[in-house]
Amino acid sequence: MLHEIKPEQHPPLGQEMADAISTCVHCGFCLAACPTYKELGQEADSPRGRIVLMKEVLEGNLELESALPHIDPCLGCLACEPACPSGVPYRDLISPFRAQSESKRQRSLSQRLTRWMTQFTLPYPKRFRLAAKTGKLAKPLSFLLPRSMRVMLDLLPPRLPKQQDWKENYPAIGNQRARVALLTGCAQSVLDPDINTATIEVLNRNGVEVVVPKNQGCCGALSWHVGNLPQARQFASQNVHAFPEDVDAIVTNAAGCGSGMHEYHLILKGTADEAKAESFRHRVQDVASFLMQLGDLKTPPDLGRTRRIAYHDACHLANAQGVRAEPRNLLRMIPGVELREINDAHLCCGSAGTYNIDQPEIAASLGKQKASNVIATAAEVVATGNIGCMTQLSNHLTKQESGIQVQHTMQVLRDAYLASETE
Amino acid sequence: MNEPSETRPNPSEDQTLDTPESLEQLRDAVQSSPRVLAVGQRTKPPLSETDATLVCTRRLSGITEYEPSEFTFTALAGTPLTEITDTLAQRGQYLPFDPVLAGAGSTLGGAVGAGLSGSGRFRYGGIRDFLLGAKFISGEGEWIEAGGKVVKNAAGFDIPKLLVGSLGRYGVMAELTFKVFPQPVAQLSLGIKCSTHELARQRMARVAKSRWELFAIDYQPDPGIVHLRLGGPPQANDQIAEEIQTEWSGEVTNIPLSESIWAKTSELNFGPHDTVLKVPTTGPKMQQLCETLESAEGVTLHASLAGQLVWIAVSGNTRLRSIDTLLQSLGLSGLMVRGNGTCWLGSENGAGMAIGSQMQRAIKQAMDPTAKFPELPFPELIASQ
Amino acid sequence: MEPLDSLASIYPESRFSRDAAFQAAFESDGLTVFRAKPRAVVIPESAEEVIQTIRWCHEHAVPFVARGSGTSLSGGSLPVADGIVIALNRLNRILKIDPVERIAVVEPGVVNQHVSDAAASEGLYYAPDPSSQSICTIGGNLAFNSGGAHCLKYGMTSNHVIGCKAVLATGEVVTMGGESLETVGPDFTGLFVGSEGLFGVAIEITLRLLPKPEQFHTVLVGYDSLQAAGDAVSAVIDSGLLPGALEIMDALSIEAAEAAVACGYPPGAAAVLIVELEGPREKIEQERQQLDEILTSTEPFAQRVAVDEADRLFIWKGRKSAFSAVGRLSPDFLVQDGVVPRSRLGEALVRIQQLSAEANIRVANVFHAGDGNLHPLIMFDGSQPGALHRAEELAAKLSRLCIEMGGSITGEHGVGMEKRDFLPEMFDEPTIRMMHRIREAMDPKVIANPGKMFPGKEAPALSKVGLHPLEKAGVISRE
Repeated sequence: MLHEIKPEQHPPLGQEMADAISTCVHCGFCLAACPTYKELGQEADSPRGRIVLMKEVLEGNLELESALPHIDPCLGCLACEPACPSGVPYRDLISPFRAQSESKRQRSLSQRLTRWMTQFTLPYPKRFRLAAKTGKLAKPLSFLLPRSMRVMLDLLPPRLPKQQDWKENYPAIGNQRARVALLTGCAQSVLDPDINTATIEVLNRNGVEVVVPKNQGCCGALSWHVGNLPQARQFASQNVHAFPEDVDAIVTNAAGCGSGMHEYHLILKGTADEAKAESFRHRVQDVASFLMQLGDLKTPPDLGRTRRIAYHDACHLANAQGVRAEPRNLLRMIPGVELREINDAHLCCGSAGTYNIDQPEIAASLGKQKASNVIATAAEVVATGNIGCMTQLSNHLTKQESGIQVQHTMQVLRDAYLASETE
Repeated sequence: MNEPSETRPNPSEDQTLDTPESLEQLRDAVQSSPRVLAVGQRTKPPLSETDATLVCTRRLSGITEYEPSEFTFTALAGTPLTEITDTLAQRGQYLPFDPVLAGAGSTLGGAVGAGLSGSGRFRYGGIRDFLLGAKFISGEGEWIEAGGKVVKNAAGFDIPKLLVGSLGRYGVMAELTFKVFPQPVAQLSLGIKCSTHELARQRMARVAKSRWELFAIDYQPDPGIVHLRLGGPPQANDQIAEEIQTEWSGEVTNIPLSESIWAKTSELNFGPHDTVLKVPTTGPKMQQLCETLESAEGVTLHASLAGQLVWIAVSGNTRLRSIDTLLQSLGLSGLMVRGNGTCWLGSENGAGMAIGSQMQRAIKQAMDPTAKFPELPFPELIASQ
Repeated sequence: MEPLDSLASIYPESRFSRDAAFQAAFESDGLTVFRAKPRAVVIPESAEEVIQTIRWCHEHAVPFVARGSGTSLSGGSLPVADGIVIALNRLNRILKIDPVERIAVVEPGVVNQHVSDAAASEGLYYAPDPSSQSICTIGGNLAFNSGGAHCLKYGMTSNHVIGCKAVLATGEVVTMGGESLETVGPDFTGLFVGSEGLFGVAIEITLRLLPKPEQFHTVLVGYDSLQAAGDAVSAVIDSGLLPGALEIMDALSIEAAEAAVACGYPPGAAAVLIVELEGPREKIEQERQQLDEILTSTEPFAQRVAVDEADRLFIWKGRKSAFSAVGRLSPDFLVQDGVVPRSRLGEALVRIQQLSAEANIRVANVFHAGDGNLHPLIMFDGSQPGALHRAEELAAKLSRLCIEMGGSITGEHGVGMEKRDFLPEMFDEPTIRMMHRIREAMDPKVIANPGKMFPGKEAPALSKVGLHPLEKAGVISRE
């Protein structure tokens, strides 16, 4: 698409944004993939529409305030990217645009408060743990709070799992075939620490030594995707230094984190860590993808019973990292597993980072649809690769009174490995 | 409607019949009379019942372009359909919609003006779907060349389609371009005996959406046989026929092509009747027509297109009034294509038609601003709110 | 009350907009060289709202443009600068699927693919398959008589629309055709389909559904030259086979598609041919042998038969994403849509290559070879001064080439904005006059999608980049 953007006026990522826009040919193929277009049914709330709006803002032809009502509802799910025949790197546009517009926009007091709350707590496991506990106490008083904060409270689980800490090193069981560093994540490590434990177990059992770098922090994806560039930079910088060089991969088990770390080159562009970020991001790999690449995996024991498992594609795994087949193949590896596909699998579940908090109506509608589609598979377990999706799925499955269990792919796999030992 | 039972004097007796031999003469003929209607061989007399001067195109005959590898031909409007089907057949091609009344001498222009398609319309579409371009003379005496000569064309309004079924009321067609298809290697005909009209309808519906890809699905209410036509490599036809025979074991017979109904149907030859009506419909109403007219004397029905078209054949005009009433009660419309008298019967709302539309009048005005051609002998065809 | 306020009163606030964001989002469709900001955008959710809107437009003589998903490649849904855009994509209900009569009745905003999806459980499908079928709407298909890869055997949109209810630009609501394949009287439905929105807006469309072919036999064939691929098409056609599709892509478009969807086309091919047979398995069994023999005789250097449905879709994915994929090779491009007689395909391709070389502009070729429908993709970089102008000059030459060869300026994209200047070169004056009269019969105030199809005085949308290059060159003008 022709544009009149002057990239130098929009540092540090003006060129990336301009390039993404000029790649778009306005064909409209992305409309079919976009959950918010499906929900809202209007051009301005489609990827193509948003690209035009961002272009107009960057050109100086449209007020930011006019565009934001349509940019904000974007889930950042990136379903538009695989749907785009022209290969528009939408992520190179939306996140930098959000980062740039954050400093220029007017936000209401309650919006600012909510954003501050999420960004002050979620990325920090200790603060989040504390906040979650406090929040639980505050639940009876939630009617006093602004809506967005009520939503936050609703998302908190009724009880938090026991706190877990991890050692710095977990040696491979048997022959060592590889060595990886694990990102333990922030919110995930509070909401469901068992995912990390399961991941380590599965890796170890397949001959992979796991190191858990002590100085790691939040991946920064959350901050980056909501336009908080300074905070994102701080985390990214911390991590590029915290993770060792002498590992085969930096393994992630939360889709959002993995995708965020793949974008470190954008986040850190123009900083001293720019070069380091570039090499760093190429070493980041989702655990499912890493395992399939490793190959020759241990088959869990055959318990002689079938198990129906639905697999839910986390957007930031499927769309952002192209990891679709690998988790499915891992699950199929378990004897007796009958893998079920979910209708409208390409649609986001509505979790999308803090989207639940920012756009509760759309998030709820998507969550409801996703839960219905999961229920329709008649699966016993729904597996996925992202903590945000897991929270959203649990919430909406519970609302629909479904007993389908929500698990991380690694938890399903670990349980399969352990099954013979416990039965 | 007009009195259907009243036989009008044969117009050819008191109307001059001009038969130009060149396109120039054709245009002169159009320009020299105040009111004109083009005819071909007049195989469908009710459609040209008018007091306008009749201009006959039968001497404007011949295929002007035919390139088999293009899947197209162009022919003058007066070309007999048989000449076209013969020429195409020599190159293994055909018009898949089973042109109507070819044996009776119908011309290409007449087929377009009447908008008639036979049983083969079921598979690949009707005459409207195969007409690509038309050169015709407007009421102002100008040559209009609409559509194109290639198989695919989306430029400008599709005026050629508007001419289909227009009964010559929009212009005088001189030259027409059609799409053609390769003929299937072989054809095969089956008959399924059906004890009731309802059963016949159910079976037609079943085969119509089947994997077998039938070329034609017709129904003879008397003696209650659903006719199927297969097309393709002989071995494939045989295998599919076998499966159909298994499906309705004992009720399906293989009918030699020489004895099949297809040719007779294309000639609108439904027994000893001189009057034939075309009635577009849908399955349930087809069934009602069959049931209501089952014991009516001197009436023969024939359904085509898996029940979406019924031909009603009668002897003389005496039964027309009751058929008109029946069609009205069912909300159907009929076009009388054989026989004498007015060509319109039945409901003004049939097949989505009603009086009062500005659109139909406005289009007639646009196509024929000087009212050179007669009015369409229908109530308003387009339903309007 | 200001006129626009009375229009606004038809709609809740959320579905009537004149804000800058909507104006920007709707300013163009699949052809971005033309842009125009509408005065207001309305998003009706019922046919009644469409009728009221058009009656309002008629009363106030305000132009309107109906729009589905905005995928037109001819600028067909480009807004009119002082007009209303009627966004129909929320009129997306499938009102009826009747498996017995094999029809679907749909609203105009229903996505093409969704019709087939809804009919699939009945073993039926909707045959026309434009490359954008995952998103383009039936209303837009109807307006532009859209085609697709399978037109050779089953025809275009027009061959599958058997009835339609529409509101004309006069505000009159009319019903044409019905639920039967046959009608009596002039084929008004046939006239309405492909009228590019110049008559009014279809609000209820009756479509013919076909039984889903039981089996497909899809062959991907690689050739050393375009000529050889073209000859293979003639060989298939002359054999008496009637394939569902016969498609050719040249080296540049293969490169683009490969980059976009990694479709696995034979490396190094100067052209690939996709041939698809479809039908009952018994028939395919026979015909595939015949096809094999023919293709072998054409000496391809690579040949691959789709092993299953996924593989078949994979082969088609490359073809169907070709247009947009060219976005990877070039920042901007113009898609052409001319038709030439099939027997002159080879000649046309040579001429296109010559013209491309003379203009020093890369042209990728994707085409429906069975129909002689070419899709030259003219690549340019719009940020270079004069590049668009030179690309348009080449496009003009290609359109004229098609007319000279006895073909058409458009096979399936419609005339729209893009080719309106060539309509008078394809049709003579009396024919154009007749078209104008028909148009005025339906739309005496010339408010329905004005500026499309016909060149000349009707106020067209203003290109945002100022004067259109053809205007600068004095080739076209507008008032």
